Amino acid sequence: MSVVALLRRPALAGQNSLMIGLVLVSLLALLAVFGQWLAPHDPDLVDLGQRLLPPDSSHWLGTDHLGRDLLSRLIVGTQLSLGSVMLTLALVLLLGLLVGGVSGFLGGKVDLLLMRLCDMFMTFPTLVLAFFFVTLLGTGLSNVVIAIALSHWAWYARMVRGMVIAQRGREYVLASRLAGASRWARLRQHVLPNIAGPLLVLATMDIGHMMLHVSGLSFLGLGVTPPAAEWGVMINDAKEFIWTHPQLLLLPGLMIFFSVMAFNLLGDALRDRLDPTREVH
Amino acid sequence: MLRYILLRLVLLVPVMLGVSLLVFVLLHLGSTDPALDYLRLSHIPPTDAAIAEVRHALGLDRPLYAQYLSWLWKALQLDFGTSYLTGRPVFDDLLYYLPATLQLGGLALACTLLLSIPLGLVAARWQGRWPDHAVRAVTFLGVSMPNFWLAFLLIALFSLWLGWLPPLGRGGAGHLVMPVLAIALMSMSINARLLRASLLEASGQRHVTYARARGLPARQVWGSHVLRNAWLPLVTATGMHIGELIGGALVIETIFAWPGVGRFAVSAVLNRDFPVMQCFTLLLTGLLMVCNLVVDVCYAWLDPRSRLEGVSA
Amino acid sequence: MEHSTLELQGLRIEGRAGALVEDVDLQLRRGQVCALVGSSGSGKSLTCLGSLDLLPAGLTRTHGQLLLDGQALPAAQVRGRVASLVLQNPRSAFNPVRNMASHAQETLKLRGIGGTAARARMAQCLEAVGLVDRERVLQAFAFQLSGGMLQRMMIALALMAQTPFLLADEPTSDLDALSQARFLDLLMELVQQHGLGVLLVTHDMGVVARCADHVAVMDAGRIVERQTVHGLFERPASTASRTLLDAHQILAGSTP
Repeated sequence: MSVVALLRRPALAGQNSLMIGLVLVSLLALLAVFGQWLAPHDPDLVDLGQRLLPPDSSHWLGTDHLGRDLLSRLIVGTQLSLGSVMLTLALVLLLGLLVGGVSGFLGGKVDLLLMRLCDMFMTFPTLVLAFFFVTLLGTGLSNVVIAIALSHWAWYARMVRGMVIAQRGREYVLASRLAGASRWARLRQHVLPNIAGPLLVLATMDIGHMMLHVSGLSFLGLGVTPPAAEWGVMINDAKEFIWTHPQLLLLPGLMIFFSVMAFNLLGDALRDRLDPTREVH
Repeated sequence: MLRYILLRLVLLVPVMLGVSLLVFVLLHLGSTDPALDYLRLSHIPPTDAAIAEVRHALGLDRPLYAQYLSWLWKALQLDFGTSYLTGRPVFDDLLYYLPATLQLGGLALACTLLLSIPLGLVAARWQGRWPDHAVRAVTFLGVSMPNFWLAFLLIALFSLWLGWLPPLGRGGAGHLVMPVLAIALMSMSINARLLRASLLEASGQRHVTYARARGLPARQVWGSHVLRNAWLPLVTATGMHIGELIGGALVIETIFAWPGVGRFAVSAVLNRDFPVMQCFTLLLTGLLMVCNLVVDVCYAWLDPRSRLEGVSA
Repeated sequence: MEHSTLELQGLRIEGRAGALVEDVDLQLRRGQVCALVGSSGSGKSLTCLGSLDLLPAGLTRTHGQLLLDGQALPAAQVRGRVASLVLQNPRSAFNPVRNMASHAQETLKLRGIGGTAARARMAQCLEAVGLVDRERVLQAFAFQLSGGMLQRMMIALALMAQTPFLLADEPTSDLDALSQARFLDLLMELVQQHGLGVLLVTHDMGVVARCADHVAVMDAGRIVERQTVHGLFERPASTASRTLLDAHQILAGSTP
């Protein structure tokens, strides 16, 4: 089913969650896009004379250990945290669609080979594989995106392959083949649009999970590195101040929590709409 | 049943080989020259002569398949080389740190199962009423919470504010509570939701109607026909949980200064200590594979469909 | 004969959109087959399930009473003790992870039969329904047996439960012609030899012609006609029964 049809379904019990989820995610998106202009201070401006200030009229949430405004860093962090997850998601979807699509559509030896490769990748514990790739590639935003994408893609490839195989046998695809359409035309016109919707739902449900991995790696110093205003990095920076200035640690974590919740809410609501026959959620 | 187990054990070997080959190939496709890393970590200036010498010493001038085979041969003898950083045998070090991680991971798994089962049961049994809503709210929060943030919250609450539990290190039971909780929360939440969904789905199935139709008392229907069938998805999910719990342990260990492989691995990643990372990856992956095998065997025991090749008469 | 009649009175089933079954009365007598016919959606299956309080989620039985020999009985006491159920699509009716023997053991345990006596009774009932390869069938799981065999297994379970009445909800709809014929033969044998009282829900007039003594015709959730089988075929009174008979004649080409 197409994305548009998905959203046009008649109102169900979960409609509230869908609205709330959409609103929250949109808020986050707005923060990510316009954060730089919304932030009251320069998030990277180091001012050691202003370090570790409590909240006041100038710095609504206080400053961190290098005198940077906490609120500004939190706001700008949205861009970095959300952006890195979106990049990861894009890469995962690309790999998944490529491998899964080719595998499912062509079948035969190609399918067998690619699925063996997928199985290999799925044997590793996700974070262990991410550690491995960061060792290979080094730290930094682009590398952590690649590392997490390479740890996650296999599952998506399998999903896509399953969907493609299911779609391949459908009447309109067969009819199109009889009408003489080329393989790629069939893939593009019939198969891909019909897997976009369910794939979108699966991806949305997984964004929260990926976000936790990205911020987790950054927290360990293996991902985005200081002085970047990424929430995981900020928590790591604030470790030693947990007793004296807990807000430096609590608030970035709250932002991660909040963002993951928003995406999970959206993902759950989308999944419920996709399959309304399931009364269980 | 025994045949199934033996078959799966045998199949473990090619998968492990494939995994080791993949790791080996990826390492060689990596962006840096291991010889340079070695020199860097040994604080030897990378002159051309030094590089050539190290390359020869590490066997990097031989063809790839030869390198793999010699690596494999040594690996089978549990010799995974020495760390670039410390110069000590990699396998011995990892083996030294592994039990602490296994302790955390194992307890976290037990915690996941022990806590999620009553929650899932309660939520399914009182579906639509307040216990269900409460469980769903708690699990929703649990699924969204970053485990490292939770760890700090727990430390702030139980160590700094209440002073009940020690914030760091490995010791007695008191040292285990917070790390295990932090690692287990997410998996526990996922599992509780899964059990709830599974129970609700199982109770709507036709064989349950038929069991009731045969006059079986409600309790027996619930136990023999709903519960018995609802376990299956949970068993499958356990395999996934173990992978996530291992990852969680790696992160949480650094917070609690827990002497496990996590901290060891993080420093290896930062220093790009390839031998350590290679062994670490293979060891933990091997562990996960064995756990998945156990899970699959349990599943096969519970669900005869997956192990019998029977076709309809 | 003890327990000679089972009556359903005033059954009413409501769903989200309103009443799906209304004011349904049925009488079952030992040694006789009462057919409940109607087109798809007329409410026959719901009547069958609803009388025993086995409705799926979203549907409720708001009225209705079961009377055994004139005495009111709650559905919970009728299930498995007075009336057994045989369902359409038998494969999904058995627990996929338990074998036939365990289903049989459960049923027999309710009657207080266990151990060797249970195994003997299982053998007896399986033989009575024509399942000859006893050991293999008992050790088998639902996915390993054919539809016809599973249907017979359901009858065997009904025999083990020793219920005087049997409610069969479209038992032959999923079977091929040969299995259908065999099943109906078995049913008739049990009716004649053991005095089983049967409610046979079906949309197939051929089955009605072959097995039924009395027929109740349902349309849009209500009973619109009650007749003996001969009466129905010779002088159908309602449009619903005429439609069914016409369709049957087109397919089968003759009346009994």
